[in-house]
Amino acid sequence: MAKSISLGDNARTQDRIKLTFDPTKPENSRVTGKMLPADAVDIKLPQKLSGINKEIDFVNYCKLSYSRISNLNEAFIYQDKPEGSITPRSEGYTDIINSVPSIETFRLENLKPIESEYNQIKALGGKPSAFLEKYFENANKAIASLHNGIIFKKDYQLHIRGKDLSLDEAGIAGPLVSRFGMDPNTLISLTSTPLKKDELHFIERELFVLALTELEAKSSGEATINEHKNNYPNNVVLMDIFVREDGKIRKDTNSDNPETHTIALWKKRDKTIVLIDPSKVDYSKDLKKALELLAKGAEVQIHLPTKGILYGTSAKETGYSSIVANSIEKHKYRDCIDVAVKIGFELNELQIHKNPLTLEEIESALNLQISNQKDVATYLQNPSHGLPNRASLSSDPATRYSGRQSLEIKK
Amino acid sequence: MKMKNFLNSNFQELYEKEVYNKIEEAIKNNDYDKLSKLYTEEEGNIDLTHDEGHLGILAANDFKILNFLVDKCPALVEMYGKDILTAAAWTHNDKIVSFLINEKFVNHHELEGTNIYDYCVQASGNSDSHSEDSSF
Repeated sequence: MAKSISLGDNARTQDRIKLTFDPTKPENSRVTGKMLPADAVDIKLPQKLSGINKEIDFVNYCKLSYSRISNLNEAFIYQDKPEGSITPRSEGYTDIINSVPSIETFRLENLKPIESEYNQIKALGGKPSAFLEKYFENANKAIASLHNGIIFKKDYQLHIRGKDLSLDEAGIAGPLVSRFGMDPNTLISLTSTPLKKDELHFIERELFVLALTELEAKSSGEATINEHKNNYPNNVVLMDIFVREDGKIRKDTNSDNPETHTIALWKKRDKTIVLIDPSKVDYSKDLKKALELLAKGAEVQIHLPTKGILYGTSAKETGYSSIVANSIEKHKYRDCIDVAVKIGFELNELQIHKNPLTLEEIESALNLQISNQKDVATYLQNPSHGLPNRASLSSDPATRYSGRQSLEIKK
Repeated sequence: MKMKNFLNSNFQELYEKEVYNKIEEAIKNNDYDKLSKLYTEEEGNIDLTHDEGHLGILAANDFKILNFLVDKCPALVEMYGKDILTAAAWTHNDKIVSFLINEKFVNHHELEGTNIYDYCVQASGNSDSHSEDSSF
């Protein structure tokens, strides 16, 4: 039952992120207290999309083994430019317990109620109502995405070693940041369902437990500094959360999907995890106590930049839904995932800085490097406030620091 | 403020902007004398809470300047005390952190759970009693 991540021939990567999960072992029982049965392969999907909103169905649906990892074309990795977001270097989706026929059953169950009506209207050359169209579109989208699973793990890394273990052009393997995410396309039935700011959805709980497990194996920031380590501790992981609004999961403005957000978790000390929100502290600070209940005695500390915004837009609240980084829209803002990845990269660099820094200095330096807010990075001029700050968030540390230097010179 | 005398509102706006830029510059450069001179020139008619307390945030690494601003405009810390305290913690200015808490401009317990709260407690060198009366 236990499976491990396979990244093809990349031996170093295999070693680095080998992750096994045997649901039949008691130590692997998750926060729900439920263990997956050994014959889990026979478990079927929930009959309706809304079934995914039931914890037991979700637990039965995912084995969390990330058995399907795809190697990205390494050429993509070097497409990272100051004006663009980094491409993940590998990704793994949760394994799906059900067999393909049950996905078909699921499709029929979700579409059956109105399928004949829909087909009839189409056959007569009529135009189905907007509701009908939307229902079909959303159900099909969810079903297509479910083939990949609900939650996933993605790794972000700029430079990696080649297959022969020789160093790449940059001469060094860069820091690795893993993200435990969820695919909102599969979770359409959760949109606008109740979720308080200070409570975790069971999918968020699963993601946090995975993130915590990843962090447990890493050196803390304190240990890295004290022991003068030279290797990146890779002790920053990312996790997705839902965006809450008025006690409900907010609907994404560009789709009917639930809106998600990504936060960074840094293992500052052995028993201290710092939650760093890449945009507004308010989006995630209320989760502190709920996370601490799962954190095995560790304190969850909230990273609080001045005025509570690390990276955002000047005139309005950070709204990342319309943000697409490409060569045409290069002035668009970075998105929360990208900023969170850069938080991970930067923290890794700072922890093994040639001039050892204290933990507080590291957080302070992170603020200065990452923020586009003049209240946080006070060297910024008023006209710079909230504007895209791409170069100083490059994946390449040299570009990142020169970007910031040029801003400081302009001061 | 002198700028109030201008009849042309556009010109007045430009003038105000320039004054605030000069004040901001003086604070950024920790130039107390220049700040004091600018304030006097404008006959004290400057809203120091301007731009959501940004001037106070800039002053969070220089006690003399922050003290000047607070003396002239107590509302600055009443309204934006937590933001100024946060900025002071990030610049490791323990004197300002202590000042804001001891003078009760900020109740740092409201920041409990954050790294700034921990910094405040650590900077004080005292154990935290979690009481309303605790101070540095």
